[in-house]
Amino acid sequence: MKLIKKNRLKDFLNTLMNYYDVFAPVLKHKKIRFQKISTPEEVILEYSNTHNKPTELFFPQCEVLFEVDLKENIPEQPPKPDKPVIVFGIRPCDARSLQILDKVFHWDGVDDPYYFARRNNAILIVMGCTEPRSTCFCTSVGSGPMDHNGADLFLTELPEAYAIEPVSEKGKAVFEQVNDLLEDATEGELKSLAELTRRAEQMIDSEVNLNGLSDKLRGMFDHPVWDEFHLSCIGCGTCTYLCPTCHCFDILDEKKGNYVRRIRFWDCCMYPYFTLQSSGHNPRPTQKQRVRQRVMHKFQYFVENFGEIACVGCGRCILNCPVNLDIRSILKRLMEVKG
Amino acid sequence: MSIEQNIREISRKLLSDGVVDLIIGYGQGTLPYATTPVFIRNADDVEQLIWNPCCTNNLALYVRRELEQANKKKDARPLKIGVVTKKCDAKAMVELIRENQLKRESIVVIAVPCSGMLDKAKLHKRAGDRELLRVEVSGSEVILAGRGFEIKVNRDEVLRDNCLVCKDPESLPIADEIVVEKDDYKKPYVEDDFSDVKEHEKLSPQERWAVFRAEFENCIRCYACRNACPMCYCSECFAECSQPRWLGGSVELKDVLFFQIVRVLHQAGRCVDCGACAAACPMDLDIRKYTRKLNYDALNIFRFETGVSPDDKPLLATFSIDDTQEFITEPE
Repeated sequence: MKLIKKNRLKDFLNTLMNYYDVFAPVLKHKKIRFQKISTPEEVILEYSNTHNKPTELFFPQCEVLFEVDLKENIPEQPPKPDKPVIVFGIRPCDARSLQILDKVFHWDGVDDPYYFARRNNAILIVMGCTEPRSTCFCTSVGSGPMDHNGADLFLTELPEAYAIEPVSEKGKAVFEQVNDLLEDATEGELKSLAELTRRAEQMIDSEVNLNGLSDKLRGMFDHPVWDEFHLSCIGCGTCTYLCPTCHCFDILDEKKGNYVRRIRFWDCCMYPYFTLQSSGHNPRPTQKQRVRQRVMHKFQYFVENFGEIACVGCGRCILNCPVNLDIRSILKRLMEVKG
Repeated sequence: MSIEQNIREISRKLLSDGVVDLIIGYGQGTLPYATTPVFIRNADDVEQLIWNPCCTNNLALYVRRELEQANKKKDARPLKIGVVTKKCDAKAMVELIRENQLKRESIVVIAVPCSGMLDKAKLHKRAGDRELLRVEVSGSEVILAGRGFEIKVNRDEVLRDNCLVCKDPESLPIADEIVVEKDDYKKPYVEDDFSDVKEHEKLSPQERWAVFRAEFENCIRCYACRNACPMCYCSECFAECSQPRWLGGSVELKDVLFFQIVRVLHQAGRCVDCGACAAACPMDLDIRKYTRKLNYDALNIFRFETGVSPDDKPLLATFSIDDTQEFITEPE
């Protein structure tokens, strides 16, 4: 096991910045979110998780798909990334959410070129969670605070250093690039790593039993339990816009002067206009149907389509919902009612 | 008896006597600084109702929505709702009554003496942005605790700003059932001199624009501010209107700023300063700053305050020949 001492982390990041555009958690307007850094000093290391979802680096809230100059009639492609990217300090839950998005953006074997241009260009340095939040429930959705799935390199914070493990081929290449800065772990440090890993998993005290839920939900579309949840929902986009696995979008053509551009931007199933058709018909006219859709999509339809739950248990929706409509409470209730 | 027990007692009676069909109030949240709105139709369920200084949501929003939905059903008996009401909810309901969005006879106002609500952002700041696992309020003290820390803060210092300037929170403009129990803590009252608005007005247009941009370029356009606001009830919001389309779909400055500017301007003479928008914002943006400017103008120019009496007309529905016209500028 190799280590990077805490006092050498600056050199570590500087080395990475020689080869890559490095994105890391920074403080932007009171909130911690991922941004491209220009110095290692910007990086926030004491964070439970970022406020905004890091998946926005790969699937941004708004992106231009193409622009056309009506005079010239030449479609202009959006610029391609020229330098490979490192995402430093992404949490295991969020790294997993990217694996979930990979499936969506590779539906029917067709790659979404915009998403995968960024995704294939990026290396994830995942930071294990040694201090999970009380709202974290990753262990309930098949993951954990030290889940290496989706990581290229995996870091774990020890008292004086970070344990560093290459996970993928990409990760190994980075590992070689920073090899000079690494040291071998002592026996004490190895013990400390094992202890922290064990402790982190114990610290997840928010447990939701989801055994058999997706099968159960298949027969529950018209269940009266759906009359309960939406009452307090105000229909805003906080839960979806902060959710790392939410991926619904809309496309719009915008014209300015001689320029027309096609943009793609996040949409949200909580909005009444999400399903409004040009005929005027809306298949989901009430908030009850919209709340049901969000839960069903994550815990039933996605399981049916892609074989896994589209929730990584990061707790962002719980922490930020303006009316404290807690997804864990909904899930518990769905588990306990008679299907 | 506590305020909470008093609320339950009144609610139980209203439901079991058949005076109301539904009680809207606050229930236990899952975070130590949050409550969640609850909808009670059965007298046996009133134990779900709670009262504490985290009852931030403005319930007038739900009252209007529930009545609107009930009234859509043909031949249905008119719905009557009992509402656990603090002053800002009452003010919002007053405005909704004045704008013909709510019928006074459809609601039973359970008037609760409010002693100010806690500001989530202030609590987090005082805890050094560490996770809060326990928030305990006793008298003028608030205990904030998490993993490995416990601090005591002065309750006055963690109240929402709009609560600080709220005058006589115990006297509501509309009330039917009065909660007589009182909190043992008295909220400080700070007379609102709108000094923040006046300071902002002193800036040049360029500087004001810079302040506005710096704040709202972080907006994620989730519409939480709009949807948490009891006064935002348009069945079709301009932000989503597609024929014609007023704004684009992006979160680029041009769209976000346009959304926020128009949202705020639609509050002229209507905002009750309940702070629901600011509390709902997941990005902690200073949303209240701009509605305060409108409230200041309404007061300063027209001597108008929202939420005073359901019998008066709304500001924008009145005209007096003596109205000042100073704000009307001639085109150059």
